[in-house]
Amino acid sequence: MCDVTAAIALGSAVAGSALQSRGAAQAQKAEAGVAAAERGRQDGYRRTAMNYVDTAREGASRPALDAGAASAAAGRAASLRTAGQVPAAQGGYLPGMESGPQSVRDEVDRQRGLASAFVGQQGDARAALGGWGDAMQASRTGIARSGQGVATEAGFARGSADAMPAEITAAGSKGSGTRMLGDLVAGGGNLAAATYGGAKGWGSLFSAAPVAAPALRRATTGRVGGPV
Amino acid sequence: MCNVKRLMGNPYKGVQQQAEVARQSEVARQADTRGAIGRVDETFRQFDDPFFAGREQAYSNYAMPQVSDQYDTARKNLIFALADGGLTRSSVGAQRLGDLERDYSLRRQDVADQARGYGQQARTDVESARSGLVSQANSVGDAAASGNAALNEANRLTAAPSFSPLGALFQNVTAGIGVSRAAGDAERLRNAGGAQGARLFQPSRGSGQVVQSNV
Repeated sequence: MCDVTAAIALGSAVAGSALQSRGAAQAQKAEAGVAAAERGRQDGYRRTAMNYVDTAREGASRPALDAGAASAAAGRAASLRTAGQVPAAQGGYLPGMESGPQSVRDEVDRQRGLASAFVGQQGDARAALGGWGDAMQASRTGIARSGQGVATEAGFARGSADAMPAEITAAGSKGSGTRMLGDLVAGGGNLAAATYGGAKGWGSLFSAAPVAAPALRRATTGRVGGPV
Repeated sequence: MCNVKRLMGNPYKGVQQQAEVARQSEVARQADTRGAIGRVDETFRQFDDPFFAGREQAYSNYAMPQVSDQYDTARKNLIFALADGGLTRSSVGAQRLGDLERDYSLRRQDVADQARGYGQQARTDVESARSGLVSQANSVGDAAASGNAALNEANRLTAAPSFSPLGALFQNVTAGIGVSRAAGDAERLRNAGGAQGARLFQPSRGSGQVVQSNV
């Protein structure tokens, strides 16, 4: 009787321990899956944020700024040259000059040439200054938008990370049924050992030094057991 | 295994539901945030290059006629001053006309530059408003609220701006012409009078005397 009981008790202990280990492995696998999924999401947020930063950095690079400034300056220069032209209706010689000496009209034309050159030079200089400002403004706008995008992704990353603890807790409950069954089986073995081995426990079944049953159960499961 | 769970119930069901709710809430929040930002972008799409060109043109339409009007007045004043001084057909008149037209061109460029400045300022204002709304969307993630806020900002930004009136631009057009005229008059008097007595204001010949005051 003792041999049969010992075999049942030992089998139950081994089977229970195996089931508990399997349940624990399921939980660990689920937790690892949750962590991997979160890593993937965080990588995605980080990549998107880096794309924003890269775009802003390219926009703020020297070649991009130079190209933007040149383009903006050209547009401004054309606009200023157009604006700097005196409308024909408001030009012409003063009354009395037409009938005056040619030398006076030549002087007027010479003065106009000087004025035109000066106005053109001033317009181009203004355009160059303004073009650089335009390029910088465009760059600042790009950087600001990059910052907004990064802030958005950072918010998503925080929110996603905040949802993770609950998922880890839930993943830890995976295999709970298996662990529960393992606890039951192991508990049955312990019960058999206690019933037929008396107060001496497992040791009496094998004529060896008694070992407390709860200690054996803790050693085999490696996890906190469920209700027995 | 399922039988065991069915038999004993799943004590971890609540935990799993909590995890699912937490994840679904986060997914929904992110979707709301993206939607809210999308609403902001959609509303601000109206602020494109033609819009800002319109802002620039609005200032040009306001300021350029003022410059033109002031130039016309200054040109008339120059015509009268030169005619009054008999300098219309002179190199002085030619130079004054050249100076006036140069100043007119520069003032017109000022207007064009200022107009561009208004356009750039409008871009800055719009971007600032958009940035604020995106920040709100990031914080709240409420698409409807962000959309309404974006519309309010857009309406504010499209309101007519106030432009400062121009000051006097061509004040020195006739400066010095009066002096030239006086010099011309004196020269004519000298040439016409011939005799020493015709000169009204003769230069001092050193006959002045010092009077001591006993105050």
